[in-house]
Order: sequence, then structure tokens, then C-alpha cells
Amino acid sequence: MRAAQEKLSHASLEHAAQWYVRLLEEGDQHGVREQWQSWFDQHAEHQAAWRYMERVGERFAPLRSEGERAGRLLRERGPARLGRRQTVKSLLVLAMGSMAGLGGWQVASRNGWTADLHTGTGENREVALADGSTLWLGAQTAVDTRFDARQRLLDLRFGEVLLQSTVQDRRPLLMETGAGLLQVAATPLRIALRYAEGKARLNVYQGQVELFTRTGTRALIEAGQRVDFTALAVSPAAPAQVAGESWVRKRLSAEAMPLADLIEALGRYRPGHLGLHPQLAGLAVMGTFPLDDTDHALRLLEAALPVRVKRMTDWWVTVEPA
Amino acid sequence: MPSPAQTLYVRHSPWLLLFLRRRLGNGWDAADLLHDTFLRVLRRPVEFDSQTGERSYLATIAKGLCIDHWRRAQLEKAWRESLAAQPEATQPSAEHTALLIETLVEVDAMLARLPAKVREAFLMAQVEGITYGVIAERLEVSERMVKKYMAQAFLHCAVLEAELDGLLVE
Repeated sequence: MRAAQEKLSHASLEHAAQWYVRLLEEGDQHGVREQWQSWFDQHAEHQAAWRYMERVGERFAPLRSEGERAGRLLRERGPARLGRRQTVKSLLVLAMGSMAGLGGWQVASRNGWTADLHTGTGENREVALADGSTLWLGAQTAVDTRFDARQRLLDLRFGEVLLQSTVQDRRPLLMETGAGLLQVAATPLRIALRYAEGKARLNVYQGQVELFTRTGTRALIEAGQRVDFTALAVSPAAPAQVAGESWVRKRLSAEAMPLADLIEALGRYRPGHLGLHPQLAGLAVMGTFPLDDTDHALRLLEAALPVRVKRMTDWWVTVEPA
Repeated sequence: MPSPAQTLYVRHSPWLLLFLRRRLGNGWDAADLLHDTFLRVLRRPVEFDSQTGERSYLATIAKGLCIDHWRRAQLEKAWRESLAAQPEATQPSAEHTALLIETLVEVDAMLARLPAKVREAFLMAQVEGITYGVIAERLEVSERMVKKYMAQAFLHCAVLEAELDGLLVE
């Protein structure tokens, strides 16, 4: 199901690194952004290389709140005697990490370029898996599938999926994210899983799921329950949310959903930038919003809440206090 | 019928636990790493020809996890000591500290093989937010050289990230 055996050249990564350093230093000056944009648009491989630069930036982001202390500590440690293979192995063990944002020009990419299954902005997809189960992918989602004689493994790199399975199969059914691993404990099964920036949300509508976080915390999630988890911790179970599966019908059903979550979801169904004033992030939203007509969804928001939708262009929209 | 992972666990956990306890000198950490070792195998199963093959595979994973464990323990200790030096009112939450230590460990592993000056320049710019001009003064090199160091470090990290994804970089 892999689209093509993509390879990333060293040269592309090298160019991307040079652009990254220039943009960090010069930002909007001297038309650097425009030049970067044309390089970025030129080739899918450039976009993939760029994604790795962003990932490097994101890896360092959590340290910046303690920048001076953290930097000094790491510098004092000096170089280690790790071999190259050990370095890669060490990193494989570690959580893929807390993905805080870098800033403005992070809007581009995250195209899941190398994943087996992926969707772009505004796109949903229904896939029949090799064992007869059904997987739905929400917008901006990337999933790797590995089915062999020993296991059925779905690796959700980022985005949102709904999995339905009535299949009796001896092989364990596993779902991996950067925050932890799920093992299906009972079928028939209907679960929704979202993963982004180190945080995962699991809704179990039917069946039963055993969860192991990356740091080894274990939990059993029953039908009708929802939990949020990271590599470090699992939240107490709460009732499952309709929003976890309503997107399959291109509807987003919000039951007291924080506005930030709603905007994030709409943003995955809309090209360009959709921003939110930080002051509004916690505002609770009730109602059903169409994902296939985000302009309409934004009008509904304006009617229901004390907010104003500000359009710089069709591609740059922010939601602000009214 | 027991699952392959269960069979593997029953067959190998006794000696592996002893092996880990000897290396780490403590039962709690050994039990944790035993769990991690099998979790790794559960995530990425491998076909074995023989029980000897299974043993050496498990031992390799366990050794790697021990090295990570030691490096991590060192870093965690250093970080907590530096926190202890600051007034209690400004102590961060336990979760925030855990997240920070996690990130420190990742970043430390990632930069481990870079030349000293490149590493220093990169940490000053990326983590401490120091401008290239100031970094150039401190390291006694030109600003152009600092930019070169930065690009080199970004490239190095990105190559590792790409390798993590199993993407062959030519």
C-alpha cells in the first residue's frame, strides 16, 4: 500500500538545514521567506526534508522555558562515547517527545510523506485492512500498517483514526503512538484514537483496550470510556465523546469542547492558517459543526460565541474576541 | 495457546532479571528494564532460529537499555541538583520536571557525537536563545562560522530523525 519507496537525499537535508538557519536568523528580511517558499514548493522531497528540520526544532522546544540552566547542564556534560548505532538505538527507546510549536512558519508540512496510509488537509479516508477490520483516517493523518504472522500493528504517527473490528484472529491487534501502545483486549471493537504533539486521546465505544504508556504505566479502558495519555501519565477515565467518531460523517459534535480543540480540528479541514486568540482557548463550545464547509462552521461559531472571525486573506484567518 | 510474547517471557525472564540485577545492582530498576525489554520485543517482533538466538537478542536490547538508564540517571541527578539550588517557591511541578528530564535525555543522546564547538554553539542558540553574534564572541570564531556550525548540527539531528523513521538517507 506504500505509495512509492521514497528516499531522502543527504543533499536535500543539507539544503533544508541551511534554509532553517537562515530563516531563524533573518526571518522576514530581504525576501528570505519568499526564496525559501519557492525552494519548499519546488519538490516533495524538499518538503519532507523540511519536516525533519521542524522536528529537530520541536525536540528542543520544551527546554527553552529553562533555557539557561538546561543549556549549561548539557554543555558541561561534554561529548559522550556513544557509537553511532547506539545513538540511534537510544533515541528509538525514547519517547518521540513533546512537540511544542516553534512559531509562525511551522504552518507548512507534516505531510506524513513516508507513511503507508495518509490523508491531507480536509480529506477523510476509509480503508479495509488485511484482516477484514475497517480503519477510517481523519484529515492530516498518517498511519503505518504492519500485519505479519505474529501481529497486526497499526502505527499512528499523527492525526486521528477510528478502528472497527469484529474479526476473530489469533494475532494480537496493536496500535502504537508516540505516547504509548494499545493492545486490543476484547472484540467486537470500535475505538477512536487521536495523537498529536506527544498527547493522545482514546475513546472506546465498544470492546476493551489495554494501554501501556511509553514509560510503562498500564491501564485497562472499557467500553464507554475515554482517557487522555502522554508517555508519562494516563488521565482518569471519563465518558466517551461523540466527537471522537462524528468526524467520520464530516460532522464535529462538540459537548463542552474547549474552543482551542475545535479550532485545531477545523484547521485540519481547511487549507491555510486558522489561528485562535490565546484568551479564547478555554471557551466551552456546544453544538455540531460541518467539517466539509469550514466557512459555515466559522459563521456558526460567530453566532454562538462572543468571537469575531478576522480574515486577512482566505488563507489566513484568526478567531478573536468580539 | 499462549502468544509468542508470553512464551518468550516465560522462557527468558528469570535469567534476564538476574542479568539486569547484576548490571544495575538494584532490583527495582532491573524489574523496570525487564518490562521495557519485553515491551520492545512486543513492539518489533523478530523471528528466531533458536533459543540461543533469542537469548543474545534479548541480551543486546537489555544492554542498550542499561547504557541509556545510566546516562539518564546521571542527567536526572544533575538536573535535580541544579533545581535544589533554587528557592522552594519557584520549584516547578513534578510533571514539568519529568517532561524536562525526558527532553534533556533525548537531546543529550542526539548531540552526543557532535564536535565540541558545534555542540556548544547549537545549545547556546537553540536552548539558551543566545544570538549568533554573542556566540561567535564566546567561542572566538566568526559569525559565519557559527552559522556553519548551526547548519551542521541541524543536519546531524535531522539525519538521526530520518534514520529513526527508517528512511534511508543516501
